[in-house]
Amino acid sequence: MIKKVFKNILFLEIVDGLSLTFKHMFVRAVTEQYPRKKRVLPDTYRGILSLQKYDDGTERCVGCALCEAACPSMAITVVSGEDEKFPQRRFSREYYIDITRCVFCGFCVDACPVDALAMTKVYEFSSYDKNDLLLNKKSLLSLGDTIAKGGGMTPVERKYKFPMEGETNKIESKKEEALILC
Amino acid sequence: MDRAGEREFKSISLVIDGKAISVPEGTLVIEAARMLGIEIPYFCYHPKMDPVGACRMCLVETGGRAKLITACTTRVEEGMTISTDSISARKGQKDVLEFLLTNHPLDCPVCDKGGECPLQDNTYKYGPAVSRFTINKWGFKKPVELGPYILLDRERCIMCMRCTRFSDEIAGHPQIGVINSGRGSEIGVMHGQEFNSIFSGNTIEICPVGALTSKHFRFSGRPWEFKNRPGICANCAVGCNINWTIRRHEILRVLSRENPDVDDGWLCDRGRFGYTHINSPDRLTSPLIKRNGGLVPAGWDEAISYAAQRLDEITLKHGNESIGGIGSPTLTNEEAYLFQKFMRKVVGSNNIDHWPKGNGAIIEKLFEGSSKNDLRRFAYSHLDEADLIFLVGTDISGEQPVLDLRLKKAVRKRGARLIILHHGKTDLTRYSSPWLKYKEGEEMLPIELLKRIILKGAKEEEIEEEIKGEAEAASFSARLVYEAGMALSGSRRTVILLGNNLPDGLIHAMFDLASGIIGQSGEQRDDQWISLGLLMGHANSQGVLDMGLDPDYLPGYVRIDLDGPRARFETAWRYSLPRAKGLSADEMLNGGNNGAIRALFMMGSDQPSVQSSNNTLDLKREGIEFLLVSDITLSDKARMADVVFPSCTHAEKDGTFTNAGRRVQSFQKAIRPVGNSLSEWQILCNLAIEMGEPFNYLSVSDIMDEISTLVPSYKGINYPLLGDKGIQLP
Ligand code: SF4
Ligand code: SF4
Ligand code: SF4
Ligand code: SF4
Ligand code: FES
Repeated sequence: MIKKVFKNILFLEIVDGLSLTFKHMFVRAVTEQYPRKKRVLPDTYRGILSLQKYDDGTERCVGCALCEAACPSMAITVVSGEDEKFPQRRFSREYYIDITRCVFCGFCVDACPVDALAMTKVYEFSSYDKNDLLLNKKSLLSLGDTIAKGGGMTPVERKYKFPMEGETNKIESKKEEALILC
Repeated sequence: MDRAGEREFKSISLVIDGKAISVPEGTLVIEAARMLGIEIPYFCYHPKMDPVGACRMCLVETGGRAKLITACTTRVEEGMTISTDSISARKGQKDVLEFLLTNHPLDCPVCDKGGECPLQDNTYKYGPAVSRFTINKWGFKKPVELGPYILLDRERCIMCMRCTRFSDEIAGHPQIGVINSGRGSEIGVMHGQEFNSIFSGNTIEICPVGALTSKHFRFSGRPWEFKNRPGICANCAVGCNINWTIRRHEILRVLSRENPDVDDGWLCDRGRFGYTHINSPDRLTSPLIKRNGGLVPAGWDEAISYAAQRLDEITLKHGNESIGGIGSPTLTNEEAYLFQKFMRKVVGSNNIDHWPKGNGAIIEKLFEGSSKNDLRRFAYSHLDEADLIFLVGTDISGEQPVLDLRLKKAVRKRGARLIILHHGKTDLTRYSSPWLKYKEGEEMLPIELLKRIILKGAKEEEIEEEIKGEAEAASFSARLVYEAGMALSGSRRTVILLGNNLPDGLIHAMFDLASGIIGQSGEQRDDQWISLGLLMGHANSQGVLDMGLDPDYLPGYVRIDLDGPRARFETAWRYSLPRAKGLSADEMLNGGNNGAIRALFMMGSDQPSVQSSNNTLDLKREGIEFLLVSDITLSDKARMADVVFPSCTHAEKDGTFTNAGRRVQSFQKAIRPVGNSLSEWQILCNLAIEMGEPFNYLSVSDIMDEISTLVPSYKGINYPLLGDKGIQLP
């Protein structure tokens, strides 16, 4: 009893607590000073999705809707059609990802037969308006454009190991007509 | 084989995968296996076409033979033992698939067939997981155009020859074929031809891979996103059964839905590709009311009450008889019934008709008066039994295309004789023996001659004499008429089909001729029958007539001017019907100009089939104070109207059609109505209620129940009974 009163008078708990505080002033901090400082993310980080292009600027997506079929949360909608610029080639006339539904599982990226989808390291996409989070083809392509500069990787690698800025890609083009071998 | 009588009954026993079965002689092994529920993979086999054995997919092992056999070309033999899943059979199937895939591009992600592809399915079930073929596959420039609707991707073709066999064997238009040989073979359009057969679309559906694709449908979606909902084609009077392919309430394509009594599993291109008006951006989405010279959108309540008010005003001012109604032959039976009830009961006028109109009522009346059992009413299935088919003034290939396939089947597969009486060349005239070509407008002459040959026993020489007198008119020889006459009187099972717009006299003459042949006595004529039909022009031309959308007849061809038969309707409707004779559509359109018609209600859409009919609607606004129109788009007549109600196409509503073979077939709503459009029966109910008459029908089946109590030939018909195959009227 007396011990307890004594403790209260001397504020020993405070000393106890502050001792930890003072100790940590000399230890390396684990918290990040986000948003002033940003961490370098691992290559396999699964952030917002983007649509990719070939290096000559042609869209990769062929509108097969396999991503739509693979998505467990039904976040993707593909409306396919015939490309006016390249007649007789299939492409996605409209492409939507409702990113509010997306669980970032990456199944869609795996399903895509032409590596048109890639997960970026972008995680800052919160918005005051939910409509902004229904990404259409334009926004997905521009996400791919701004972030996919650089590379030195095959498209398969690029699916998850997203290139950092400044690096260059292998040249790949899809503009030539189908090969005629016979 | 010579003992033809025995052949039909002889049955063969064999054992397939340890299960014994007896099948009729001549059955293919693949069919016998199917009867047992054993699956043999196949590509080129098609139950409606002769076997070719082109793909080698159906390899099976048979006891006693060293080599594997193709199940689709081998007929069953007594005591055969077949094994479909032995090690060597499975290896054969696997190797065939590996071969087929050596040059197959495997571009499934961009292939329209991907997801519903027999090659995918068979490879998944029977094929190798990996290919040993590591050399480059061949490459072709992607699709070549075969015809107006079809593109061919040569890389994907597996040379099953289903498409070429279809167009040759079934459609009778051998426009495509195999060019080159061996590994270099490809499908191509025959020299100097174009693949423009009206049945070309069927090849897309029977191609087991994605080699033939539809220009309209190409790339528009993946099969797993689709729903297929049953429907009925409304592009002509055949009434083929279809499946709508739907994604998010949009019609993307039309597929066949086999009904052996109607379409035999085929469609024509008009039906297969004639769906674009349904989701067209031109569709009306809300009612329109004319204000200050322009049509402005309005709500349903407003439009209905305005229309009701105007109709009431005009009735007060000019009397009931100043209001007329014209329906389209694409209205459903229920809508046609309700429309004539609305006009006769709510408006109180007999000015009700349909347009375009054929000459079908005559034949109904003729049959009503006849009691001969052997003179049958035409049903499509009669064509499958007929020895002789006589076409009078009808171009079936152009007007009822899929019926043309049934005719060709009868002629080419069964050897039935075809006689054509027509002024012009049609697709069928090349099969006809003989083709009696008359001058347009002079069709009575050959009928009279036939009558004399068959009923009066006139000889060829007499006919010769006769024709000489009228050498001007006759562009056929006495020999041919005589031949035709002899064939007609000698045949046991005859189908006579009349065109839609023949003159009354000719229909009477043909009926007399048919009953005359039946009436001729003779011992050999016990099992003789004649099936006589008049082929209607539009999807429900037959039905709207049956439903009394006609100034002279109540539903079931009850004469409006005879008190006795009419009483039934007066009791049922609790109303004393107007007695004055109504005006026909032509009279109304002209009478409107003379002031007899002050308000006109034009119901039903000008669907493409109606628009394309030769005679154009001559509607003038002068003299008509109020024009009320229901249509799917802002058609010419809608543009002139005071009030336009947006109506549904047959993909968006429930109802029944009665086809040219008098089969009642029901269809259900496949997609939700475009915009605020309503079915015509709903519009009529709303309008009637607004005008103080309780049309309290909750669904089309309520209306059908009423029809079945009032119209004798529809007696007992209801929706559950109609099912998905329909009911043939007696
Ligand atoms: S990451 Fe997963 S949840 Fe997100 S869109 Fe792709 S498949 Fe759907
Ligand atoms: S992103 Fe890839 S999987 Fe999705 S539709 Fe385009 S090509 Fe197909
Ligand atoms: S195009 Fe299709 S149906 Fe015709 S042969 Fe080739 S695979 Fe067969
Ligand atoms: S024959 Fe007539 S009902 Fe059949 S598909 Fe063609 S248009 Fe349609
Ligand atoms: S299915 Fe038998 S050979 Fe093609």
